[in-house]
Amino acid sequence: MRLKKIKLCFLFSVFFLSGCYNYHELSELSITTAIGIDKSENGYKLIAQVMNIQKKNSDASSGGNTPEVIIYENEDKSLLNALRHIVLQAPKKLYPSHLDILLISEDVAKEGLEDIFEFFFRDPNVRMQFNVLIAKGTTSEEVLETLTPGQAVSSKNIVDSQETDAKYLGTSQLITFEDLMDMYLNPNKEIIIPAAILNTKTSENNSIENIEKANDNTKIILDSTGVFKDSKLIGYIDNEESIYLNYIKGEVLGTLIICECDKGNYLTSEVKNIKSTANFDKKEKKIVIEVSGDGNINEMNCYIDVEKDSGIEKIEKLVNDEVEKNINKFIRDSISKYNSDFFSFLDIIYKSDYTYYKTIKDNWYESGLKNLKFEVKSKIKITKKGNVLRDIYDK
Amino acid sequence: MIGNVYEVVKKLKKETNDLKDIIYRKKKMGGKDVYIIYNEPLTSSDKISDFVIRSLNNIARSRSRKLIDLMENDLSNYKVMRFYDYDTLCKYLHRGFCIIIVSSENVGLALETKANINRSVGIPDSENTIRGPKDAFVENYQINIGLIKKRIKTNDLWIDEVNIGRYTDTQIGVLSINGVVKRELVDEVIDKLKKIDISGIINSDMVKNLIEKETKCLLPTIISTERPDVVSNALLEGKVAIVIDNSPYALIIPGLFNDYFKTPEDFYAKNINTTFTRILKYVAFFIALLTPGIYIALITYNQEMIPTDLLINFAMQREGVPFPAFFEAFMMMISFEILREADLRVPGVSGNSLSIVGALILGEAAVNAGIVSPIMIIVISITAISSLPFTEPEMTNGIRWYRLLFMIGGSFLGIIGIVVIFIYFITKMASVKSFGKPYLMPFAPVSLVGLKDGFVQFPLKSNKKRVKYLSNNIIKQGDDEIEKN
Repeated sequence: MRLKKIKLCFLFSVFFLSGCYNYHELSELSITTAIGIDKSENGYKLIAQVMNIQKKNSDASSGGNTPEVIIYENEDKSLLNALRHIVLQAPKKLYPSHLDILLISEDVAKEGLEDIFEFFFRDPNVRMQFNVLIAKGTTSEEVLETLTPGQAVSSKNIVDSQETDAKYLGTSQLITFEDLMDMYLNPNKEIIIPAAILNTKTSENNSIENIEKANDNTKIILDSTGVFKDSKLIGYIDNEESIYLNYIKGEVLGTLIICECDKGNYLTSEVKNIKSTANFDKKEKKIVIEVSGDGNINEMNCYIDVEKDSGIEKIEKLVNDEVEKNINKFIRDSISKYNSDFFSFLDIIYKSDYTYYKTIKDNWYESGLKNLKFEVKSKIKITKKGNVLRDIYDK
Repeated sequence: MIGNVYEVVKKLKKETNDLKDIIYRKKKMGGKDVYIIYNEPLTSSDKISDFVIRSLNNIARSRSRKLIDLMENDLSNYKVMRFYDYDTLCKYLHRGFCIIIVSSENVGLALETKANINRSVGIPDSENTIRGPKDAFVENYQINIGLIKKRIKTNDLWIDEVNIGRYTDTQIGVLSINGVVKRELVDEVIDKLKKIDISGIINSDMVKNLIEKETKCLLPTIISTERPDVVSNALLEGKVAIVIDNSPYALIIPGLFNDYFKTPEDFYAKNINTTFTRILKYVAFFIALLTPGIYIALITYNQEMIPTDLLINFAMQREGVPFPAFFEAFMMMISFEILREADLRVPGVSGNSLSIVGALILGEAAVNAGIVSPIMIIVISITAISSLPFTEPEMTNGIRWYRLLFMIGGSFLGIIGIVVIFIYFITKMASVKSFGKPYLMPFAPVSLVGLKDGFVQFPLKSNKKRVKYLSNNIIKQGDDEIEKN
């Protein structure tokens, strides 16, 4: 009985000895939704976007004039030092566990991203599911300052826009930090990061006036994708080409294909359930990209009789030809312009044919990539025609 | 020596301080003194004057037989008992019997003439059903036994009687069905009852507290009910029932964890509907247990587990609240318990308005004054509502203690504290035994037959067997061989 009491006392005291090891009250934390990194003379300039938590007053009228976010900035040669010094300005400690996006400006990206990766990878507080973006043509400070209409917090605006885009248009990929580390640590892959620009219409993008107008305000727009070589930014590929890049990576869910069916008349088809794979054919030593999906006819400005099978086949041929032609052109152009393997072809070769991989990996950029053979096969089927059997041009 | 009637009467008068309620009526019959003694509040005057005394007058006197034998033969009373000593005389007197002693005879007679000072069989007020029998136990032992016996009409319903209490001498009956129940269980129960030495038993819960093993598990291990149909169902499964005089609640042994989630209607409704309510009750149990603890743990230690939008809402609500989270939770918990207790005790006239005022104060005014945050009110309300579906108040009280423990664990160590306390809780529950049967049966150790009425209830036709840990006679329906105990 005495031993039991001693054990109980010991167990009880464990609770008190832990000393409330990780106790944070909610009112001591400021929730950081976005971090931006810019270049400055001292090293890095860190910008943190935190939520402005105001107490909801039920009697006072809400919709007040305070913005939803506050921006803090600081410069230092070490990232963590800059982040910690923000405490001198902010009343609460920054809480990075709910980070939504990381915005890197062009200048920093051109010099190399390794320092940034090291910091975020090592920190245990930060989770790896935030998205990474590049601020193209502007600094990340400008982008994060912008109060966006529609969604008050600009980081959420960007994330939501990316997610919808990935589902329906397919221009940008959602690159989370985890994906980024996977691309960086794998010697056979090169990094790609989507980019965002500002269409500056007013100079007061960081004030409430930006929200109060319906038009003529500064918006954050997702534009091209940045391509890297050895984790340094070397250029951009624009929106159309980004879609083809996503075909190769197998990440498109649904997109539109526009092809020319007559002189000056275009046919638009929305393709869903796209499955695109890139494989390496061992016998013929070439990359085979196969695309398949279900397409609808959405907009047809020329007359093709869709009630007959031959009409459908003609449209399918048009669509497939367009896809194949564009992907081929894109790969050839990008290889000659950038000479960087951001399609991850080397990784595909590594996974499927190790012996061949060993022979070509040493001089991949000199000769291997340039002489790579590839073939695109597209097998999109048209399944739906919309509500109209004959189009309105046939009077 | 009760033949000496004058001595007996004098002794009785001295011991009861010459109580005026005890009536001594003296008759002379056949040259002998006959005393008729009875206790007026407990006996019915009609029976005594019409049946006993009148038939005493009409007894034919004969010399060849003893007066006592004549009386026992000819008295027109439905129950006549003999007794031989003074203590039994007192016992019968206090039970409402009418005593007849004849001078210079060693035998006395006791006639059953009890008055009916009970309320009539009414509607159960704490265990309601929608479709089901609506009679409930009353405070009379015979009527309660009658309510059970009229449902189980067989010779196999055996009742063992024990009397406990030095000053109350309460009659306790242990019911079991021979052939279904295991004899060891009945013997153990009777053993424990006989060992009780207490000055008085007023209610069945006192017996419950005395024979429950001191396992220090705060959840109840004996079921108490006021419905005879629940008792009958339990007897048919192989359990033992205890009926106690002067108490409208009967006890059922053993009471396992799963039994507190059953309602009397489980046997009468469709099995799919019963499954729904059963699962709902289990969910309510865990909500009532864990919600405040998990809320405190998430808000103060593990903020990364909450989705961002919710976290922003919480932060907005907790801005400007002066107290730390667990202090707020304890305060609200205590206020709510005070409110609940007050609601039970305040007399009906002023009861309703007071509880409304209390709820308003706790809710609206406290939030507006900035003492608590609105989310805490919601957490406490959800907890309170989830602890209402249980019919057994001991269960609700037990949950209260463990909920406090979870809150303490959560406020010291966060989610890890909750996990540690949960392990302790499960271990504690799994180690409790209710009269030799593990408390968490049929879940752990698994009993496939018992699982047919565990989380999910199977239809009545497929529920053909009894559980092995309660009975050896496992076939309930169907035409297989029945093996006797």
